[in-house]
Amino acid sequence: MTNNKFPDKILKLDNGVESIFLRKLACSFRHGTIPKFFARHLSFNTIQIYWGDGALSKGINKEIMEQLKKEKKAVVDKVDFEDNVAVGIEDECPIEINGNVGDFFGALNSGGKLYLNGSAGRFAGNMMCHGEIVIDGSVGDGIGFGLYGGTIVVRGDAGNKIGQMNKGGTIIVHGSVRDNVGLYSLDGDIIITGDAGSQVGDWIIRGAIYVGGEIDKFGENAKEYELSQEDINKLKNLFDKYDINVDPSGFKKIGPEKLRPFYKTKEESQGGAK
Amino acid sequence: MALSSIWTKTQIKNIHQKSEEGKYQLRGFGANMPYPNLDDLLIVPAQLHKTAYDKYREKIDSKVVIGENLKRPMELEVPLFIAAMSFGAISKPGKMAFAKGISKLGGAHFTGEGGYLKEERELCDKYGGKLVVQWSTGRFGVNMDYMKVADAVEIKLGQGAKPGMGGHLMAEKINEKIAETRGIHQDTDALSPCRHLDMESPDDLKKHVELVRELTNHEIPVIIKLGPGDIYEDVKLAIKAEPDAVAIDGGEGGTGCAPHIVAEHAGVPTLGVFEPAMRAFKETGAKERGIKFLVMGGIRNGADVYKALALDADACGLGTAAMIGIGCTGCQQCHTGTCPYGIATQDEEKTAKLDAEEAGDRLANYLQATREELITLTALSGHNDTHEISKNDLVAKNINASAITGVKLIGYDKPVTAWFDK
Repeated sequence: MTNNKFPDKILKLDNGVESIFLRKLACSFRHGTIPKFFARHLSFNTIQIYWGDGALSKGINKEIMEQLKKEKKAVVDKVDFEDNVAVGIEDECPIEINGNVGDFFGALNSGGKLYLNGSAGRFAGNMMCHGEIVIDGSVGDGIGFGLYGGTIVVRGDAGNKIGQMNKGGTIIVHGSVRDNVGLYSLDGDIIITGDAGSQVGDWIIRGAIYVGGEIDKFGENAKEYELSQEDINKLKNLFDKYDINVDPSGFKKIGPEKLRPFYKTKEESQGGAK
Repeated sequence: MALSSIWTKTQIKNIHQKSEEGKYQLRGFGANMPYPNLDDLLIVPAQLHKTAYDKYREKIDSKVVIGENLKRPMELEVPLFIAAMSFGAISKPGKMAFAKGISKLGGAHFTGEGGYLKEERELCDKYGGKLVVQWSTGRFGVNMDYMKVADAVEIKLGQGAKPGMGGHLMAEKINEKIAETRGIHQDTDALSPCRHLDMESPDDLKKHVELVRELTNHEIPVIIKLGPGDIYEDVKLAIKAEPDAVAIDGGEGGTGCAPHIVAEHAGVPTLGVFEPAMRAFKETGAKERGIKFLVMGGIRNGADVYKALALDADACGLGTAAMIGIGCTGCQQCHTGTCPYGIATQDEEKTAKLDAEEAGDRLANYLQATREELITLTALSGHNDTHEISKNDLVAKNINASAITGVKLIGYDKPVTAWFDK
């Protein structure tokens, strides 16, 4: 998926930036990653376009809390790429957000059932402990960083570094992802129905990564395991729950080769450089 | 055996060990080699030009407030805190002793990476201290409970003993309680990456500050902690992220485990952090905006605290000194997990030897004495408030210290840096 000939580029289009072509192009797509065809035309690998500065949530979270208090649910319309939307929610109630959000959507979610009808920026679900985040759109880099528990579902593509330092949650991307899936993963499952880029499972310690499409390259300490019936049943149950119409039986399963890949034993260290 | 200044016994032993094992040496503590340090500065007492205060009957103020404009600013009765040391690197009774000791003086206890113990919060509440939780690269134990118990949050980017490196808490040191607190399995090494993997540029640091503020209802201070790297540039970027304080851990700062070569050769001594940090503060108007400057790394006594405050720090952290205060003798074998004093170990037989209550009282004694030293020096130098002391109250013993800090050289009324001013 990654072509080293072209650089990666993140463009932030503020109101002051004149780029009529890119604005018109961006309007054609949801916030997030422009498909490869157009990116290559502009000599970039991908372009992620963010409108505005991704400002603080400015009271959206206050609005959410007030609705939760009164009605035990919340619906928020017209979000516009704000950062930190629906962070730290502890109420186990449904929260529906309509629009595109910026970075850290649902960070430290501790029970909320978040539904985003739109795309999210980077690091959605950052350090979520439990609960659910379902994103009906694409996401940027770093979804599910440091996840402790709960489930994140993305119905769209995702960027780089999905599920880094996952400590026990479940991430499902019904689409393709870029590089560095599951870096330093300590537990939990990452499920990609489409393709994955390079360094899949880099330095994975525990947990599993399931990929339905092609894998560019495995990371360090990552190896392929045979998919067991238990794995297939687990994936089927998740796909049924989230209306993902994909047959998991052909998925690839990636897990750790060693539990402690960073430390050499005395015997391994001795004998000179290899 | 011939004597050599570079082929010392220690160096020869180190080479033999590497030849045998094929691995570099690990150890605890910070830098051992002689660095320019705060002992190279002296305090100018009041005589005629300044008027001394009588510390026995005139009150000397030492309070410091971080985050003055916030709903819950952090008010410290003394400009002291226990620097971050994780539960995992330190035993449970050790952590409890730190919390009790500093709280008895109204200072702050930093949890370090690895979550917090409810006993730490309880002891801070009981004795009037503050609890500062850490948001570090491994993000262990970080959840909403953690954010809600905090009086402040420290976003850690680095530390003095191993700047630019992350950390590994080896599986041998992860017992059931640590695994539960950190949210990981017991037989896994706990890896803290060398950088925040969810920070893709320096601008993202500001996003983290904003996220932390949002998670804590914008009520409590946010501190950014740096290791001793490119101080001026790093501090400028940290200030840009709009925290309530910037903290720097100088090269003498300790650790439970670091490569010896890194502890000795990477980073800047604490003495060298003040000038570049203050240059960044001045250029950005940070002090005028209420951003505080915290320093740690080799702070040992009231004189060190005085000198740091005179060089524009607002408060000082004690790490190694706190460990010594509860019984450590400096063997630097923390990384083995076999600390015979029950401090840097999780071995139950050893930790049982450390009485948290008694150790907390001993630490409080040491901190109280340190505070008294600070008050004494403040008063004799002609001030009744530790905020008033400045570079003008110091002299440097040698050209190096004068050049490094901009403090006047003894025998002259100018710092040596004036020789180079055009």
